[in-house]
Amino acid sequence: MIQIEKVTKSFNERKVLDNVSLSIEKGECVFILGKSGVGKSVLLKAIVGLIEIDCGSITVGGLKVDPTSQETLSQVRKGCGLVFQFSALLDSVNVFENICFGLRARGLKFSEENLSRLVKDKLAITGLSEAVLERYPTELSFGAQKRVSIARALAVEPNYLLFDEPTTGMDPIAIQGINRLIIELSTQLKVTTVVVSHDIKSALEVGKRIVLLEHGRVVFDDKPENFKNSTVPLAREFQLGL
Amino acid sequence: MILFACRCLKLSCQGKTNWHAVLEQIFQVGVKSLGMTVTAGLFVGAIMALQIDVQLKDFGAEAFLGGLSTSTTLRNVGPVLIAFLLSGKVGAYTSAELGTMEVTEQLNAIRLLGADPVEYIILPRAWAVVISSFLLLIVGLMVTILGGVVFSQFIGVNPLSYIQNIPRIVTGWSLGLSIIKSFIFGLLIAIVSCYKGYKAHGGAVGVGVAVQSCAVTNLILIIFVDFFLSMLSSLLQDVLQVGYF
Repeated sequence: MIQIEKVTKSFNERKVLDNVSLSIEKGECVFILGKSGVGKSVLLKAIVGLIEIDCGSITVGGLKVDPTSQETLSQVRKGCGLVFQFSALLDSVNVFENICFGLRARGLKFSEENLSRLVKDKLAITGLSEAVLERYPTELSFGAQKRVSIARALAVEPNYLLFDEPTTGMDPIAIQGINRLIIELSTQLKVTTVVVSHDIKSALEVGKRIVLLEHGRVVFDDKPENFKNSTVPLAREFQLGL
Repeated sequence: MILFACRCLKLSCQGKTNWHAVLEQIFQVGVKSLGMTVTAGLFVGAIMALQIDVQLKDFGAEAFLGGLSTSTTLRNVGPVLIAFLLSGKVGAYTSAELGTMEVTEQLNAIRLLGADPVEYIILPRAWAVVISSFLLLIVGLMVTILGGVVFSQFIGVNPLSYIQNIPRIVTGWSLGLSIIKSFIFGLLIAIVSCYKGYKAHGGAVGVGVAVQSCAVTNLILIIFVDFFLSMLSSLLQDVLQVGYF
């Protein structure tokens, strides 16, 4: 479970998150929507301790996210996988090394054969062929990089999978592919999934719960079917975008 | 920056350096800078020989050209000029690479996957820059001497006489000072370039600012440190009465 309680975060004097409280149960697939710059990515990064919040608390799987405690942070991050908006693949190593980076970094011992099999399995889940394993990230398309990024996050067998704008900049067919993947991960692998997005169509199609942020606050938190009938002004604006 | 340097040193003392990665980085930053260093070194040596010869001619002391040119080059001009060149090539490359990794969130990805980016990415690069810069400076200094020897014949000085004069004026103290400066400049370039890149933020503009700041900081620090090392060397020579020819 991810528990976010009264979280506030400001940058300079601009309040990005204002007293945000949210609970995400195990196995849920939650979409956090909002306009650009409203604090969605900040919230996601605060969950994994990449950004330090000003006040409030965040717990992940019962562990408090405390950026000042490297040990606690390490434990929290062991259970999390984050797919960055622009993939954040390591340019200096190939796809294979990118995917197994987390496993090597955590000191997990695998034979080369088992490691290779694991990497190929995770790659297969994302729909990519083994032909990309020897390539470098700069040689891949944007969509392929995103899939490799997902495979990298999956390789460490996370309990919580966080996506930062997974469909931004992708064509409709690629978006469908990513949506299908998120549904599979959530339903078949039972991974708790948190998706930050401004893609309302994907949210309604994939999410089991939608949280809407406006001016750093939660203005809607309910099922997708209730979103369509919501009278919250921002929700109605998003509906017009459908 | 000092805290950053201490952290790198602490990790190194804990045996966290991946020397395989260091070797890879030495090839990237060191080997690929050899051509530039050799070319620049030759011309620095030639310039020193030319300029000092002009001064010596006024006193009819051209015979001292080899020793004075080499001593000046080793003690000061050589390490400083070559360090300037390396801060531009090696330092800028390292700060740009690390800065780009920071602004594209690659370093955040490394943190999230359970590794320390300082240990995994920065430490090998820092050591590679220290080792490469030191070795390149030594090679550069040797080449400046060669440049002086080769150019001397074009200004009417017998190269043999040039070379024979070197051990008359160049002392072990000059050589030692040169080596110490080379190591310290290499260390400075490594710390500054890694730190500036690591702290970059704000997209492409941020990377540009980091690289520019790296270049300027390196230049200023090299000059300051050169001044203090030269002063210290002079004081020690006076106190210990060594290093004179």
